[in-house]
Amino acid sequence: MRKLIYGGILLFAIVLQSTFFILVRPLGVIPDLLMIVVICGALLRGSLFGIQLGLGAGILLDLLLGNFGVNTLLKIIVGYLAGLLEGKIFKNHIIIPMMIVFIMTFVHEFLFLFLSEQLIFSISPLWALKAKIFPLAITNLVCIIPIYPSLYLLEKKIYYY
Amino acid sequence: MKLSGGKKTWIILIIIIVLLSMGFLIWRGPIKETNFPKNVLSEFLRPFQKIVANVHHSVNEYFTLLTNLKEIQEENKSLSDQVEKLQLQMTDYNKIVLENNRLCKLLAFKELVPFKTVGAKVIGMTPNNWIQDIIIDRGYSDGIQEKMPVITYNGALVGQIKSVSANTATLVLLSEVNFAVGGRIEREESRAIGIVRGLAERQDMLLLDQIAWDTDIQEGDFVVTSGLTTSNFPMGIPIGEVIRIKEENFGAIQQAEIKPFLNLSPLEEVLIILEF
Repeated sequence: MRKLIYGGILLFAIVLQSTFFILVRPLGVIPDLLMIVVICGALLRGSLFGIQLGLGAGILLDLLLGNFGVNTLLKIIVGYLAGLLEGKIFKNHIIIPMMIVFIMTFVHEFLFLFLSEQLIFSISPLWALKAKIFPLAITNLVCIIPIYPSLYLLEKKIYYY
Repeated sequence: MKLSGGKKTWIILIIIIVLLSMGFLIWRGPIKETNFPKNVLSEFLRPFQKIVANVHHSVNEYFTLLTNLKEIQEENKSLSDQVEKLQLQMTDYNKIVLENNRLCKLLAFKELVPFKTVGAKVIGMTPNNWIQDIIIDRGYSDGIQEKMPVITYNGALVGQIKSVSANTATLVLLSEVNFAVGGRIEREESRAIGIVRGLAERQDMLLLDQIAWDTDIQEGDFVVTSGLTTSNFPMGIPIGEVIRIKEENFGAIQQAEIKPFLNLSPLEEVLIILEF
């Protein structure tokens, strides 16, 4: 049941990411909603669930973008790393998840650049940081504000039933 | 630490997937893609992308109408005047066309065959912050194939088809870093050739690279496709205008910055060249 619900959430996230946010582009970037869902799920349920969620999100994105491998690998890593903090943070506070998504955006994007040879040799790291990664980290930090509490309440409801 | 059977299976599965992902990253050979899951996802996203694109176009048009009402009235008046003048010119033009046809037949000129094209609507972009591909509402059911060239209705180069599903296709823009095409200076006395590629840090500029050091190239020259590097592009498709020329590798080669004719912001429809 939980996996089905999270599958639906991932699909909703990719629809929103590839339609609405492409046009709106807060701070000139598209927020990585899939990564936010993966981090939230991992923080609430642990590394194994984070990896499973990362796997689903990565495959969806790789299918859409047509570069199989990169996103799957990165989302799995992000899910695993975020899941390591499960049980070490207060789940009913949003500040820590916000900080984690902010830091994870840097990790995710630098790893993406490192794995993409076309970009790594044609982009200066300073430009990447200023024009893309920092605005993306801020946008993701704002986007997690409605997502994390919703998933927290959802988890509570699933547990209750 | 003892792991349950379910967890063990998951861990083994994840290790296999991570190894496969790394394998795909390292693999340089051709990969035979299974299109089925991609098709399912593309078909799932297509209606949402179409709705959002249509709403966006309608809202854009409405606000343009509201904000520019006075300008539109003035433009309408000047266009009406122009139409009258052009109608007069059309009669002269028809005469010239008939005369031209007659003379061509007399001289047995080979008829110029235009490209066989199909129009498509832009319905979205891929959700990637680094390399953005455009999604159009035509797929292999409309005869679209990978690597087909794409142009605007004005004839300027847009890019190339990257992947195709049943009813949608993704195209890589010429302004992206993963795009390259053979370019040539259009001026009769120059005809310099080079490779046109996108710049990652600037969407509004292209680079004509690998130009021979002694080639005659000037600011304001027009760049068109050379048709030399691959058989995927016909020659003569307009790309852009040379803005700045610089020397590279201690003067061994020249590079030219090009302002593309393609304007990305109102890109709503494109033409795909099926045959040339």
